[in-house]
Amino acid sequence: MRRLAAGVAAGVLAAVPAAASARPAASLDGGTVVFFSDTLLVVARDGATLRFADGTTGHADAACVDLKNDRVVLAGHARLAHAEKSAAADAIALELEGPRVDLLDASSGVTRTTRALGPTVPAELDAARFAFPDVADRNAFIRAKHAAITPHADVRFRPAAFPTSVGGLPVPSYLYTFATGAGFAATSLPGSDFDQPYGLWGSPTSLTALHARWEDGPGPAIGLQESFVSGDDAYATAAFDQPLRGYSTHGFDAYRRLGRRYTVSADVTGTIYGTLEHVGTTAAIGAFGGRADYSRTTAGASTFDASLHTPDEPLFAGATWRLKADAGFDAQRGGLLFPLPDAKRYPLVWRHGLDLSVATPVVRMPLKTTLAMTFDAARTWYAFPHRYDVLSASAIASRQLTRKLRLFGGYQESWSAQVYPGLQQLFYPVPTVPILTPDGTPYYGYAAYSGASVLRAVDLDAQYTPTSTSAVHLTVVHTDDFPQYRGFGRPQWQAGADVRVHPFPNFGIDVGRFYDFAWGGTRWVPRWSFAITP
Amino acid sequence: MRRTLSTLLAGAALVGLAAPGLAQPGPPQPHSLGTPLPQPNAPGTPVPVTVPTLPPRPGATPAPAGPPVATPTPSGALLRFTGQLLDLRSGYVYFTTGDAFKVADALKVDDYDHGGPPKVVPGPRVYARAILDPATHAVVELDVTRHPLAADAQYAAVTQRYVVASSTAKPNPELVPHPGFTGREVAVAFVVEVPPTTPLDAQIYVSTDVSQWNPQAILMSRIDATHYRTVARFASGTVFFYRITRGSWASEEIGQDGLEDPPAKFEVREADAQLVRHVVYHWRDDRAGSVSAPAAPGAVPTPFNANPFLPGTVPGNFPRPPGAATPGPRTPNLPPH
Repeated sequence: MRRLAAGVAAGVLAAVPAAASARPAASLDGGTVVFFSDTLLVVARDGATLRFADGTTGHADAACVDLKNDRVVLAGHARLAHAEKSAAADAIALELEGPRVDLLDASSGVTRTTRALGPTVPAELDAARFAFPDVADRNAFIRAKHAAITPHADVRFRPAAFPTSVGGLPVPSYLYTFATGAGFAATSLPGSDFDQPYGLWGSPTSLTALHARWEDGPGPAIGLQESFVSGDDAYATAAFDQPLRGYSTHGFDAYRRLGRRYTVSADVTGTIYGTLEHVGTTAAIGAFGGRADYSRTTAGASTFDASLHTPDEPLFAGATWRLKADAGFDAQRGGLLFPLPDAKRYPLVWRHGLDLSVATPVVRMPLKTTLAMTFDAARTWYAFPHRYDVLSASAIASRQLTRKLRLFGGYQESWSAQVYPGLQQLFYPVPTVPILTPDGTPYYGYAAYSGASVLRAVDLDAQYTPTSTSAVHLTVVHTDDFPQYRGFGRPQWQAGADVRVHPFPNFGIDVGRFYDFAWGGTRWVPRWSFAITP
Repeated sequence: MRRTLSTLLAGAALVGLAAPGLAQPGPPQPHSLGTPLPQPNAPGTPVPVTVPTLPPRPGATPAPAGPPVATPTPSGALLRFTGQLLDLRSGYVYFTTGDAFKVADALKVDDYDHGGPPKVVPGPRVYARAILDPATHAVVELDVTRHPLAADAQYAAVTQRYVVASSTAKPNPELVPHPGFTGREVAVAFVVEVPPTTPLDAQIYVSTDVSQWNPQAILMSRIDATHYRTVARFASGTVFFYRITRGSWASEEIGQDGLEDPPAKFEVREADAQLVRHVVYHWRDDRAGSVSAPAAPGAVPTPFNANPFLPGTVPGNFPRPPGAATPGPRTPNLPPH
């Protein structure tokens, strides 16, 4: 039933933008149509034909469309026709949406008319309107034969190919969105190792996209997302994600900025286990930052948290401190403190807390090294006799061996304790059933866990950057936690390598290989990471 | 073809820009190789013109002796102009400098290196030496070649006294996608300072609108504990918006007051290289109360079902003997009622 509902929702989402998608204002055909994503230029060569939605057509040896400035240049034996009228010139400059048309004739100068090709009048040459950038096709992001352009929104290429030095990667059609609203970046899809969107429909304020994904655990997955965006001030996204193996998820996110000092947001995430709903608001109170969040699950759990934090204040010698105070409650239908015999008396427990952070600046040390450290202490008090303490510290050192090679070493330790005065044994009893690890080994040490845990991690990195667009990362991580035992908790040893190269002028590749060693009954567990970068 | 069109357009634009009234009306006239070129207002056989005091061209055949046809300059100085051609059309010769000269009714076109009929057609990518008649201010001879020519003498004299359309302050439109920009590749270095709470193993990215807001668009390299750097190449004149992320939009940067700031705007200037310094005050998933985990068992951990293990570090499905348990929130060992 849930899958059916999710499928219906996805279908509705996909259908909505079809109605909302804007009609292309112009199309451009040519022997070759190339697109440059950095400058948002579409250039047609070897005979260019431009068709506007109002019936105006243009022909030239070549044409250039500047998507950022809504500017079109027809160059070389340019002709423009509208209804029964036509005009010819050496070059014609016009606008994607506006009526102005400039005709440039080498012998007679510039004349100006309108898209309807009425009477022409002499005009001053506006050189920028006739600019035809000298771009190298080898740097093109997309090569095609046809481009359908919706101003301020998107351009669809057919058939599209992503040129590489070893050939083009063809797709029948590709929609490139260049709407600048940052809300198009928002996503309701869960995290993934790889996500390649494929636009289906778009308009200046909406986008429907399929996502080819690789998720950690389930593996390959398909996502469908619909986005509605209003500039940088508001957006709403809805998404459905279906791994080939594993359960589907759906999500919804909405965000609205209310003036300079307030924002509100809401999001919903659903899986087969239930739904998590959240609303929140953020406020800037002078230099302080305030936030209030409420979230609940269909399993009957809910939390509320209101916090206020100071800006980073100077301490001494470049060090800074920051204090955060928060208050809220945790609630659970049927009782929150389930170890208690009378747990139903405690469906909701209020709490308040303080969190102090101190950070040192990056300090130069001997042997051309640098060092930076952070310290954090937090305590939360509960209305029920209970407190939760966290102390953590981290240090990161770096050393530059050569211009291209850097070494990093990091250490992080975090100590936490759940303290129930007088009731510790009730909340952390000795297990009565054996705890076995994935390799079948009994885990007696878990009995020693009584609310206090320690996380320690040492991280050694080597970073080699031979060029500005390529890099090699080698990483070794050792963790020493409590509790931690043969499969439970973080692997004790991890190592990995990540290689980033830019073999093609228009996109790069990032490939990583990581191993967990001797953990969970296996000698090692390999993992891949892969990303295509612009 | 593209360059030809572009240069034609540029030359024509310059003419129209500088002195549209000086341009000859009428369609461009076809011209053929060899000397001389017929002009629309000079039907009939053209008269070859020579300038006797020209320095000898390398490898050129000495000119036959005889009285010069061209009128000598009053001062006796030669008037020459060398440069790269844009075009020869409608009675004018255009150079890439933006200068245009009227050509004589009977223009003689020669090969610069060897003399005689030229091996290349006067046009884009061709270099030429123009010889002007001081009396008529027109070009009487054009010597063309494929290789660049050194600047010839008396540039100022020629351009000031005999040029028809001189360069103006406006840039060549063929070379500038936007006024002041050539569109050349500029190395842009981003240096980002991240908050000290940034995780040890964090990957930092620059996401831009021209990469369709891909949160992993440009990976940065770590410099030290709180600084990352990368170099990206953009065409000059490119205007883009960007944000810094840790690889997903759930971990994007937020402002010092905790609010999402609008994306930063950056314009690539006409320079060899540019440096962008950017400060990240907080990450979105740093702040209290942020909910980013999906709904799943333990998705909203509270101290009341505290699990000592970090999310994802407890294996879910593995064979257990009957009665064995997975560590987690413990069931109290209450005495039976």
